[in-house]
Amino acid sequence: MQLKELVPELHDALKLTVLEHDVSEWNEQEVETFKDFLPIDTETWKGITQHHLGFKIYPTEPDTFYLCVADSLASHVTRIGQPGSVEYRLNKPWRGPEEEKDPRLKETEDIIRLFSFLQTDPEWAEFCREYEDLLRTRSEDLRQGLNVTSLYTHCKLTGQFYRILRNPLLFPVSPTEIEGKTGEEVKALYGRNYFEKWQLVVSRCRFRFLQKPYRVRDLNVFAALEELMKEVSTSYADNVLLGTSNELLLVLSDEGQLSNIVAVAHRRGFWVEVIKARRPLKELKPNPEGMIGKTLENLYDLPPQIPPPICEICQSAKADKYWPEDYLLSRLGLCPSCQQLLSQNPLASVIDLLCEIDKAKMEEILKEPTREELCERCFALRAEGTRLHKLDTWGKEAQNKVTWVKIKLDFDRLQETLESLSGGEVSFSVVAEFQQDYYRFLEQFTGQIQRTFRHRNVESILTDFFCIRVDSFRQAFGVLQVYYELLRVFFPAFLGLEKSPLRISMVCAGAKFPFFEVWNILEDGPDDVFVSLQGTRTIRAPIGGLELLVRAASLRYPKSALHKLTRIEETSETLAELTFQDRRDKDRSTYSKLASGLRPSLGFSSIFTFARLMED
Amino acid sequence: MRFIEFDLYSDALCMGERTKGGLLRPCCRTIRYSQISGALRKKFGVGDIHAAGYLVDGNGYNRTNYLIYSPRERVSGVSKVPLQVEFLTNMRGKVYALENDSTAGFPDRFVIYMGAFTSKGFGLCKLKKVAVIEAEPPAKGVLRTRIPLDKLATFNVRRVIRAVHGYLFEPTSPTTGIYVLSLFEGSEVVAPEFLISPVRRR
Repeated sequence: MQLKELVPELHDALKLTVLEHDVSEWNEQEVETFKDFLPIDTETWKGITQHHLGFKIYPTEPDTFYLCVADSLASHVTRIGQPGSVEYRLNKPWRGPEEEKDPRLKETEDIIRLFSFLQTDPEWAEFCREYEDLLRTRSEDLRQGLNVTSLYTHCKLTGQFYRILRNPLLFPVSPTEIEGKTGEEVKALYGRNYFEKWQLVVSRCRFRFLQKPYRVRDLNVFAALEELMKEVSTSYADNVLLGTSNELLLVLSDEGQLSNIVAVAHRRGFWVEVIKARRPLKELKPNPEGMIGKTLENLYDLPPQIPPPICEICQSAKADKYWPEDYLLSRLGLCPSCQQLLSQNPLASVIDLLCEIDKAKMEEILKEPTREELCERCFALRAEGTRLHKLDTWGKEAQNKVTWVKIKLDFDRLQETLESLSGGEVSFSVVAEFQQDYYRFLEQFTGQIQRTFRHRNVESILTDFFCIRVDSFRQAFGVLQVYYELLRVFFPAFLGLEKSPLRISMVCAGAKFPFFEVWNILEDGPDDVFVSLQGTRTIRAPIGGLELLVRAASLRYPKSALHKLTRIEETSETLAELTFQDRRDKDRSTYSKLASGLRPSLGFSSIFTFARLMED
Repeated sequence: MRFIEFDLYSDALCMGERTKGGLLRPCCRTIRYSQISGALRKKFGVGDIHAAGYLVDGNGYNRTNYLIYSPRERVSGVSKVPLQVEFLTNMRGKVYALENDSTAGFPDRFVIYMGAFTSKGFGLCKLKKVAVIEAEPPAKGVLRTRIPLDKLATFNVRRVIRAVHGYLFEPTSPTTGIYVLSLFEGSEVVAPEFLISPVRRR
């Protein structure tokens, strides 16, 4: 039987048990009990027993050497100074300690079952099917201060680094450099490679589109963005460390890989904001922003000149299609006379001359027959037809109100936050651990929003971007309530920060409000909590003000007083401010309530916007 | 290299973006090279004018408003689908024109017409000369205007750190033109201080 290759993720399988991690440290009784069940014929067992320089059996061949280096890169342990006493529970800095219990396998039969399973030489996915719960509850290290990441995260990350490094052309290590060498010699080789010779590229790529979508059917650009992210995340699965709906943190073996990723983005019509740094393994950080020698670039694929007409949506390619005429001619199977009319005239000028059968086919288009000049790519995106059917329906009724919601993760602020919360250098494994919680947070947020506002009223555009149909704008605070509750569950430590790495931006507007304006507002907002009303008035609050906002929104206020306040503000913000100051002690049901509830963290402008939203 | 600094005022100005959301015509939030240079060239009848500018923040300045406008077919007299046009009121801006033989003699105060709907009362801009300033020293910052790539040296933009690209129209004759690759607001550059704002973290 041909041996399977080493499965790097399983290198710490012994940590699932109460046995010593280093097999050579087992006592006689343990050796005697388990010797017949050990998967000694597998390459993976070599990985389990030889992945540490500190073990008596140190790496003796290139694969276990790569594993040893990958293990160091994926470890939180190597980054921290003095650890504390043993603590079995996970203690993530953003979440706090979990329930204290030792999840490790203690019973002999359970450990034998684990070894028997390892004898089948399972892949990582198969192993996860059996032991994922245990992997997720067992921390990478049991000592206080090091029990930040789960064994699952550490093992998965080790596998990723192993496959990145196991490239003899870029990271050469020959069998003769290791086989038959003493422990000290292998340590010296490790030191040379880890501290000097071997270098990796850490890069952050933000993918952006050139289009300025105004209509629902042009929002297909988000589907294109999703496909791009999927393609990159699948093709470079081992390289992706952290991702949002349009941004990736990558660890790459060389800059060629980065060029390939950028080329994929260009092929799909996107441009890329790139920050990158190439450094020796020892100097790598999970954010290039903080690394020596970082470079910043915006990478486009644009011609120096474009003869008119230029595409009205992306403004970056020659427009050689007419919307809707080319769409109607190519897709709808019109009669010859209508085809001839449309091939020579704009639709708007020949509507009355079209036959009734063809007119019926183009009923939707006839509602907005204005001609637009588009490039091939924007035309193709629009011609696909909208995938956002709910939003399309809401947009047809001018009186419909919607709230756009975008959750944003600020990578730089995340790095700073994790450093301050964990009191030390942030490792790759901490960021990878955070990512898993972040994904779960987004999943729960989506589910909770759909339950609160009903599925039929929620359009999910990206994993972190939603449009919700509301009856009144005050319902926007329901979104903040969900956000606040989930932050308390997943990232309670963020609520006490001055600035949060997670931000929420919302725009309350009519369903017909131009989308690109919404997108600009959502993209720009630097505040932890940002609510815009029709693009003109805003609530800006720090994360500490979120609880106050949610609480204040749950109270009742006399509508007439709110109305009066907003009308005064329409005339003069200063006058409204004076009125507010004057009445805060006299009118307890409105001004006093607003002042005590919101004034500590919100400016007057935000309070007036709050009053407007509550009045709706 | 010296630039003449002007304050620009307009009661109502419609500087249309080329992007058109079908029935919405958005308004540009900066004073791009092509627009202000074109307007000045038209006013003074000379070609060698290079200017760019931006909107000035301030209480009540540059408020966005909307005009519903229905263009009419000239031959048939039939109105087309109404358009929603964005425009700015109480507009305040700064304009910087390269000092050369064509611009040195500009009066201290003058008016130009710029942007769309000039026949409907929009676009009257009053310019007031404020100072003549040196384009030194260049500093690192975020560009506040739009300049064609081939005109960067004219504005003493020394280095482009991180570009935000787009296209500006460049006339090649009174009836023809071409779109040229340009640097847009938001680009990180090393340029004269009057063209930039401090770098904000992304």
